[in-house]
Amino acid sequence: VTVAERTLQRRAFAAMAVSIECLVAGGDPLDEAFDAVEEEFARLERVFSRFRADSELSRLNDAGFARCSDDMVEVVALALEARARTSGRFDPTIHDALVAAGYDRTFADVEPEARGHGRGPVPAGGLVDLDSARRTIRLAAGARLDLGGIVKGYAAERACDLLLPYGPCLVNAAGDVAVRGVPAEGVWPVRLDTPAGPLTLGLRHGGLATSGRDYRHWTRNGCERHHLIDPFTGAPSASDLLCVTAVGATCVDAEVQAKALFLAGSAEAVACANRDGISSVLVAEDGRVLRTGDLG
Amino acid sequence: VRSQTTRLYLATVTLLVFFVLWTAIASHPWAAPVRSAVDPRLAALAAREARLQREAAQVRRLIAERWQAYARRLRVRQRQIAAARLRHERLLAAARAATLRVAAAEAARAQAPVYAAAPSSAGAPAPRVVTLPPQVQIVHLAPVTATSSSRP
Repeated sequence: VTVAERTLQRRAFAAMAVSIECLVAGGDPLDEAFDAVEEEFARLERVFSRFRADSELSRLNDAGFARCSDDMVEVVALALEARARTSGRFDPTIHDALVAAGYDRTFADVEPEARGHGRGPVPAGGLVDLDSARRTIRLAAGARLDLGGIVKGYAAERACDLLLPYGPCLVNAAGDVAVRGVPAEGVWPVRLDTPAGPLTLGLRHGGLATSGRDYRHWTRNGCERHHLIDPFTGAPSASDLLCVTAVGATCVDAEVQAKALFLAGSAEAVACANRDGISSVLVAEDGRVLRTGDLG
Repeated sequence: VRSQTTRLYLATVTLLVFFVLWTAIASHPWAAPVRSAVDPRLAALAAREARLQREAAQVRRLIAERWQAYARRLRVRQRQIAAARLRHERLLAAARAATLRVAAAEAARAQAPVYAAAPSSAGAPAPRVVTLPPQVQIVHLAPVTATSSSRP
C-alpha cells in the first residue's frame, strides 16, 4: 500500500455517459469539493451534449449561428487550434459523419448490430467562423460540430481547477486523465492494460488520454463501425491501430494527440510521435505494443 | 514537175509553220511574268525571325536582371537566417541550462512531502496554476487509476 493510497480521497460518479473518478491527495473531508465537481460535469454536459436537443451545442448546430457561452467559445477555439495543428486529422465538424456511421444516440442506446439504415460517409472540414471577442460562432452550410473528442478532457481540467485548492489531484474521465500538483511518490501512477501486459505510467505533469476502437464499435449492414472518424473520408478510420494512449501538456492536448496518432496508423504514428517528442503507447490490431517518446 | 515543186514547197512551209507554232506554244506566253527576286513571304518570315530574336534578347536580359536581384535577396536572407539560428542556439542553450536548474530544484523539493493540506484559508495566497511540459515515465508503483478507451 503506497502513501498515496493511504491518504487519497476518492469519488466516482457517472456523467457524460461514462464513469468519472476524482482523487485528491489530502486529509480533510472533501464532500463539498467533490459535489462541485459533479455539478461542473453536469453543467458541461448540458452545454456540450449532442444528444440533448436543448444543449447549447445542439442549438448552435441547428441554427448555424449563435452567441455562445465562454465554455463553448473556449472549447471551439481549442478544437479549431487542434484542427490546424494536426493538419485536419482532428476535426470538430465530424458530427454528420458520426450520425451517418450509426452513432446517432448515446452509446448505450446504439444498436450493436443493425441493417438497412446506414448512410454513406460524410467528409468533414466545414468552415467554422469563431469570433472570440463577440463570442459568436457561425457554421458553414451543412457543417455541424461534435466536440465529444475533447470535452471530457476539458471537463477533467476544469474539475482539477476546482480540486487543486484541496491538494494535488487527479481526475479520470473514462480514461482521459488530468492532474494538478504532485503526490508524495513524485508521479501519479496510471495503469494501462496492453496485450503485452499491464503498464504503469507515472504522470507528473500534463494529461493523458486513450482513444481506441476496442470498445466503442458496432456493425451496420455487416460492416464494423466505430466512433473514430477520419475527417478526410468521413467514415470510421481504417487505421491498423486498436487504441492509442498519448501524453500531452493538458488532458485536451493528450486527447487530440491520441486521436491524431490513431488516425495516422502505426507506422506514421510512431514516426510522428518520435519526431515531435510525443510520449505514447500504441496498440496495433495484430497485438503489437509500440512505445514512443519518454515511454519508448 | 511544177506541181510537185509546189507541193514540196507547201510541205516545207507547213512544217516550218508547225514548228514555229510549237515553239510559241511551248513558251507559255499566257503564264504570269517572272516574279521579282525576293518572295514577300520569305521577307515576312525574315522580319518575324528578327523580331523574335530581339524579344528573346530582351527576355534574356530581363531574366539576368531578375536573377541578380534574387541572388542579392538570397544572400541577405541567408545572412538573416544565420543570425537567427545563432540567436536560437544561444536561447536554446540558456533554456537547457534553466531546465537543468529547475530539474535540480525539483529533485531537491521531491525529497519532502508535497501534499497540500486543507483548503486555502482566508488571507492565504490563491493557488497559481502553471502549465508545465508533460512528464511521464514507466514506473513500478501501485496504480491509483487506469486509462482505457471510453467505457461507460
